[in-house]
Amino acid sequence: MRTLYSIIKITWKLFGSAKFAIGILSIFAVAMIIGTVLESRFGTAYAAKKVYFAGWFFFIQLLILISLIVAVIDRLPFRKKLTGFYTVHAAIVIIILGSIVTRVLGLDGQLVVKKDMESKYVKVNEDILYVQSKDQLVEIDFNKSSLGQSNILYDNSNFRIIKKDYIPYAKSEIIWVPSEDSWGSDWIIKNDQMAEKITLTYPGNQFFSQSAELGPLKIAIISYKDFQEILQPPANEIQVTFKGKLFKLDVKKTRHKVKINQKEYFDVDKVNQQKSGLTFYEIRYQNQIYKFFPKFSIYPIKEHLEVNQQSPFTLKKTSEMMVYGKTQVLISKDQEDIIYCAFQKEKGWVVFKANQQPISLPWMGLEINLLKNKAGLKPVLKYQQGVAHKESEKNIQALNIQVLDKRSNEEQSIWVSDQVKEDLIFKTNQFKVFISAKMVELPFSVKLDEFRMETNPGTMEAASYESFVVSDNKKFHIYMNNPMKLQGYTLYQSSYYQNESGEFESVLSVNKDPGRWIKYIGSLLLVIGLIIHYLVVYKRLFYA
Amino acid sequence: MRSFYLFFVLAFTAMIAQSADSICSNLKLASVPILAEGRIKPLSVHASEFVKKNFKFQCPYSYVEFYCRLSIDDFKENQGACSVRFPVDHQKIKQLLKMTSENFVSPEVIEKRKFEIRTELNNEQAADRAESGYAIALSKILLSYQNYLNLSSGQDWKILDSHGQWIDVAGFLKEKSKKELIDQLLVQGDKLSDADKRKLNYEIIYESLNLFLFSLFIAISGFILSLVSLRLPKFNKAVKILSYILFASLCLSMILRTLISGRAPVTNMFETVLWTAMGVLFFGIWLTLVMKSSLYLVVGFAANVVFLFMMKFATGMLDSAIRPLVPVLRDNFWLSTHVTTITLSYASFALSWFLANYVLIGFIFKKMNPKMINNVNEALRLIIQVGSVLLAAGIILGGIWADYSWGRFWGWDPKETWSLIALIIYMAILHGKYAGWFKDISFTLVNAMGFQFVLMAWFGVNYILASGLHSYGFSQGGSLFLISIFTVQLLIVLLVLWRKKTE
Repeated sequence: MRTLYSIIKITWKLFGSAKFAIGILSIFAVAMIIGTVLESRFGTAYAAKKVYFAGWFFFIQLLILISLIVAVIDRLPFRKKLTGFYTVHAAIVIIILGSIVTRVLGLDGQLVVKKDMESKYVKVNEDILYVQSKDQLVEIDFNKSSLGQSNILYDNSNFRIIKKDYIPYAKSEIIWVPSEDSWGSDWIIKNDQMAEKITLTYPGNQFFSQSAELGPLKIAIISYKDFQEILQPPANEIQVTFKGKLFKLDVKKTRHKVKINQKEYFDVDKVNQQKSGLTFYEIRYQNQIYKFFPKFSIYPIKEHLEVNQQSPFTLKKTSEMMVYGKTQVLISKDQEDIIYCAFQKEKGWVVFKANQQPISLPWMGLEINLLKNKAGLKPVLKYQQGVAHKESEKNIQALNIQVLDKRSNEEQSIWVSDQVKEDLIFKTNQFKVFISAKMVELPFSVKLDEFRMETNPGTMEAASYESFVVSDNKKFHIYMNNPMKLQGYTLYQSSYYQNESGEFESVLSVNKDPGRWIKYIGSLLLVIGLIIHYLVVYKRLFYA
Repeated sequence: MRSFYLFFVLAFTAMIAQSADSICSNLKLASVPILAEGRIKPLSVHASEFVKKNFKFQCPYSYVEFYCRLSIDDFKENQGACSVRFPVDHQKIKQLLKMTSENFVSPEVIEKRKFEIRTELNNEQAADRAESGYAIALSKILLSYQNYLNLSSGQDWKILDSHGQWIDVAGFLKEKSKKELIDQLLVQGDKLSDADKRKLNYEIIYESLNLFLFSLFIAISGFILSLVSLRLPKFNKAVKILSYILFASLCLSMILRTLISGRAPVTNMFETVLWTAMGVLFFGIWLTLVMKSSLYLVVGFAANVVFLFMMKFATGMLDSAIRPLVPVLRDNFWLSTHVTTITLSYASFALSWFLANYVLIGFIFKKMNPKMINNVNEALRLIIQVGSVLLAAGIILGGIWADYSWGRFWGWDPKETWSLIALIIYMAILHGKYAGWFKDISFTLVNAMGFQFVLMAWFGVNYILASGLHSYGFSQGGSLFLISIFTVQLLIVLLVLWRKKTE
């Protein structure tokens, strides 16, 4: 009994001592140094996983918490001389408690808001396994379950999923397997200065695209039906985007003005080029001229067919404009395995047969040549242990699962990743399995009304951007340092992007933090406590 | 030295101007307002910033005249008089460009090898080495060359047209002559709004005063005089006056920068060094009053000499240009409170570092007695206490700003993590002092070492780790600079330990 008491006493003394505080603070500092080095080498997500949100790091913080509390209790009853000491130590305890509340009850994620669409689901920084069958979508947390004894991730009356292997940082390799209606092909594109091999598949998937880009060229495989359709050019109305707003151009008039707002307008000229028979539109605004060829690109074209992606004006994408900003080369194959290659020349499409001989493209002396025709084959990914990349979007995580379909009593093993949605086909059932970010539903939805962007004078750098949104029948104006607040959630302007049709979509970061005020109170106490503490020291030093 | 050189260049330019007689030779062009890099500024400021950043030129023109001539293509009549050279120091790029021993390459060579450079850069990026020294050097040379092309095609800067809109020089010259361009430039100062006119005038004053050179001069004389005054107290008054002049000069440069940019001058590495220099001097003056010894002014001046040298001459590391802010930082209240608190804490730690090293070096040469060391240790403790309060407050203000603007109080961003590391280190030092671990020279020693963590938080994150939201000042020279400081400090620490053992 006595020994137990003395052990407790010694431990208590140890935890409350300044020497223990120095030791644990030093360990904490070293841990953080490791974290920052890992981050600079392998990226934010990796450092978070290995250090900042790892169990051992929490343990260090727990020891700091204990040390703080014991140090205060040890110096009770209250002495006026130690007011600053009590306040500072209590303040840090409060800040740590506030952080715990944030971690447990808070939400932090991203919401993309679009025009004419209600957005409701917040993407959070956590990946889960999705299993989609005909009638339901099951969300499975594959990280948590691995703590348990068995590796059963999910079990219901229809199917059971067992986790067999998990590679957090995987490397993928492509292998070709037989598949009906699939077509893969290797091509080489070269001129005097360069040669590049590309692989295209039809139908495309997330890891092997139907198209490849090479300088101003975009080379794409499309179905034979689409191929035949695209060669017929339809004529449509033309719309132009400027600072996030759409304006309609009058295609009948040769010259007209389009109003931007009360003060500003831009001029539009329709020009028919006699030589080539092409029609283009000139937009004049602030002494700059932007030439648009609606069939070629959503961007204006400079001399030598160069595309001006810096332009404040862009066209709205139309169905006949398959690829924006690029000159397209289309490839297709008919039933008899004859491969066609088509590209646009001034007067329209030209078509070549590509089975035997190389075809010269009319840009930079390039030549395209079929290397290998892989009819009836499709590419699949094989995963291996890799290394963490600095940019988190380059990281691949791969999960090997065993799925038992209870109706047919069939069992299949499959590798799932965040790269591609895999199909899992049983005799009586069919699933799509994939890894993707977890989505959390908000109690309200948000719709984008207008997106505005201001640039630094004379440049295209964004100086500020702001969103006007509608939610809960109320209007909100969100810009830097002016977030939208609704039902305990705060929505901040985070970034934006332009989608394929040239319209702006706004990215808001969504945050809910019930621990906020606890941390604020702790912070205030900390600064006050430090000042009180050192004023006492200062007085002792100079006025004693 | 520099102004001496400039004088020669100007004199030479004046001579040339008479013989070559270009419309760009007009000396009044220097103060003409133009629009470039998102800001209205005097042509002289932009011309010298632009040229220094991108290439070197060999001809006896001023920056303004050279810049002006290149952008309106005024070299045709005397071609060959001026040659542009891009500096290349990476060995692999020299091989790629088939250069022999020289360190410079002409635009013609780059034009010819542009494709190879781009291919190399693509390969580096594809191999996940986008941040390697090679890749950075490759993209630097491509960028400099692109900037050169922009300038020589008249697209780098804009002037006002007759409708009062900014258009680039090439656009202006499509309809009008070069003569008209110069005439327009000379009168366009009057067409600015009153606010822009005022800012432009402040910038012209700021440029002409050359306050940093003046401050450096004062700091050096102050340092020498204050050293003398330690032995001869009759100079104390002169030292004090010099410290006030230096403080006023730093204040003035800060005020002018605020007036020019319209925001608190705390947005890049250069400005944090400026703030810290001022902070160190402030704490030095304060300690001199409190501790009644001019030792603290010696240290304050020494720190200012170092900082001002960096600001004046380490231009690759500290960019003195005033640029528009990125949108996320556009909040004057938080910017000024958070960054100034943090930099003031850096200032107090910097003072403690210089002070500690003064004592350590004295200790190595057996010039310190225990009483002196203890006196300084008391001051050190006071300084790092002030520094810790400021750093803690600064970190919290940063957290509140982040929470207010982006909804997160703490995100383990390397800059914030390293400032927390620095705070924790000083907390450990203070707890160690309290526990009686660090006595006499040991306390001085840990103080000197503690500042290495501040240096990491201040520069190391940007120059060595270089990632995260705060990475506004990347430069390759920076890491070399830091590593040499760490090495010298380690050497001093080892020497002190050796001296302590032999005593």
